[in-house]
Amino acid sequence: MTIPHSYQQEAREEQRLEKKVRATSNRAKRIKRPLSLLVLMTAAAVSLTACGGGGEKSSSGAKKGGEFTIGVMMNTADNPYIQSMIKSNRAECAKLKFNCIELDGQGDAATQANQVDTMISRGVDGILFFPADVNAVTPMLTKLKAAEIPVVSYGNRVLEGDLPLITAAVDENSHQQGFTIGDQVCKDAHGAAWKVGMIGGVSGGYTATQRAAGFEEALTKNCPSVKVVASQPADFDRAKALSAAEDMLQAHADLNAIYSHDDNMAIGARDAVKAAGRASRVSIYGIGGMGEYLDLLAQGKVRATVFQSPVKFGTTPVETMAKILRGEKVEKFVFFDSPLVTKENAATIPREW
Amino acid sequence: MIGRIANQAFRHRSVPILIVLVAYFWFSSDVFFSQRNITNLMLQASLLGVMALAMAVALVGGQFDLSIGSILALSSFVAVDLADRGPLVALAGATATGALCGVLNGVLVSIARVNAFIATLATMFAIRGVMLSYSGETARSTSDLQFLRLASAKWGPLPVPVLVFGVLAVIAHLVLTRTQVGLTIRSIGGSVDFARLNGVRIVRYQISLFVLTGAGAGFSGALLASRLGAATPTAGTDTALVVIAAVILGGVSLYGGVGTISQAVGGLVVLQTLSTGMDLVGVSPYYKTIIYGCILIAVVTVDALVRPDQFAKIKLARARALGRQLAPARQR
Repeated sequence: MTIPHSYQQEAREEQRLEKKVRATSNRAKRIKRPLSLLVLMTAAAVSLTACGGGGEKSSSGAKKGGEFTIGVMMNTADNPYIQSMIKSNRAECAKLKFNCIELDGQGDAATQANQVDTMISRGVDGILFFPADVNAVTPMLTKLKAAEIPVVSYGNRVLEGDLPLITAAVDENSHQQGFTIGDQVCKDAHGAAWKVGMIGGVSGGYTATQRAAGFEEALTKNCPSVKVVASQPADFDRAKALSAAEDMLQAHADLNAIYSHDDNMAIGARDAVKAAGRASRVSIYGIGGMGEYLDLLAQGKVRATVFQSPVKFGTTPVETMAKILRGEKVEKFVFFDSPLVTKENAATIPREW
Repeated sequence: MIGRIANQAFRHRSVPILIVLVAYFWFSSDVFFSQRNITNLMLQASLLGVMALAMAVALVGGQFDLSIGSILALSSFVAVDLADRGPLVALAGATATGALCGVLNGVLVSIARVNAFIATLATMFAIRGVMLSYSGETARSTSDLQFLRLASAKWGPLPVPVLVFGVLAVIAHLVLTRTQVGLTIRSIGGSVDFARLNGVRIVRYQISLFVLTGAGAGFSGALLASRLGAATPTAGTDTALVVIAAVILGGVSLYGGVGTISQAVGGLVVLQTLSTGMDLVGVSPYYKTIIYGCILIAVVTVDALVRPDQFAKIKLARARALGRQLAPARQR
């Protein structure tokens, strides 16, 4: 803040400010005219309606002629796999003539709690639930149970104690996937004492925990000489995986393989290995069957993955929910398997994400 | 007459926006006005609301706090850990944790003279780090029924958090408009130098503002944990921005000194109506964020076009007051 040096200066400053006040309040007056305000409000309303038109047309809570309204509660939408899942979700909803309301949980349990409340007041017929955090779903599921809304969980597996609250769980069997890759690492090691770095998903999450446990179980069972020497979480994020891999390569000059909990991160790890000039010595393993990764696999630049079809993952919950709503009996766990993919069969796998 | 109405409509801009929103959602969903939905809406708003009140007071006092999301997450873990000692102990523990973090922010800003943006950005990361190591990066759940009732208890048709929020809002409004403390906060927000020259103990007030935002976040953290039955390490990653956006939307200035509690509450209700309404109608998640952005941009743009006169007025008043101080005997 400037302090005026003399009265003249101060007076000049004051005059300047006074002029400014007058000018801006004129401007303000112009804007404050009711007409402009009306135009502004109309513009806001129009833009809202226009944007809203992009979403699904609401048919309100009531159903028309056997048409069901289903809340699809996604964990997050900022991941290529989940986007592919959402697409197939949407397609299946259209096929079965379901009115599916898509909700983005933004990876946050609190957001999902709000969405559950909203869905209950909307009176939906069923919920497909991809929990953001399985530790914080009990109150939500209890409410849904009390409102007698069937829930099919998928993506992240709900805890043992919450199982009675849901109708069915669609599961990709993360443990089995980790085991399959661990088994493949053993085969590729040919009995050598490989050192493996592991890049994990969201740490503490069910998927990451199970993919790590399954992998390590395969190692101890089939090739105890192969050891996991470094393990770092990278939240299923490619950029984080890249820097995690760089750190590992720096710390372990004799690293033989990097196993990532998904292909997206595996590509990040591969970039790091390539940049370090150690592509020939460090084998890359992933999980998922991402198109970009499958291409690398077909070219022999990475070693293996398992194919967890996002299309199946998107359609199975909707199919399961359809069965439930039709009154058919469904198993508590609906599994679909993820086959191993290596260079040999990489070309035959559909590019779904 | 019409001019005056327009003026008021601008000052309380949430009201016309809210009318448009409610009309739209009413038109497109017949459950929008169900008692259940309105109760939900109020409950959800009140969880953010305590933080919004504190943030509004801080903004009026010329400060703002980016670290509330991290404080929220940390204190929700504290609340869960204290849950079995009774809900009030948990609530107090979480609030105290938040207040403590607030002291840290306050000292950084007022004594170490770090810019509030930088200081709270830094503590946002630091406190989140503390939370991650404290929690071991995994969620912690509780099934203590007393604690779970904290957020789900009802008084008549109203959820208790809504009542608490209402009471706090009234108190905040009265303090800000009717007490010397409130006026002093406003004057600091208008001009720190002016307030200092008038003998206000700036440091004390500034620290208190951060303690307030911290305690608000801590309080909300306990409510959040009670609502989810767990504390999650991912909680509150965008809370600070949502809360600041709500308060700004209502008409509280980012530049300090300007704003009322009713504006903050208005902004909050608009944002919550928008969020709940769009979920209810089934707006695609991609459009949701675009719409948030559009509305916020529209509001702050209009604000920027109209607001400068107020700043010029404040500066003028400041210059005059300084002039009087420097030359009390001068003839005007």
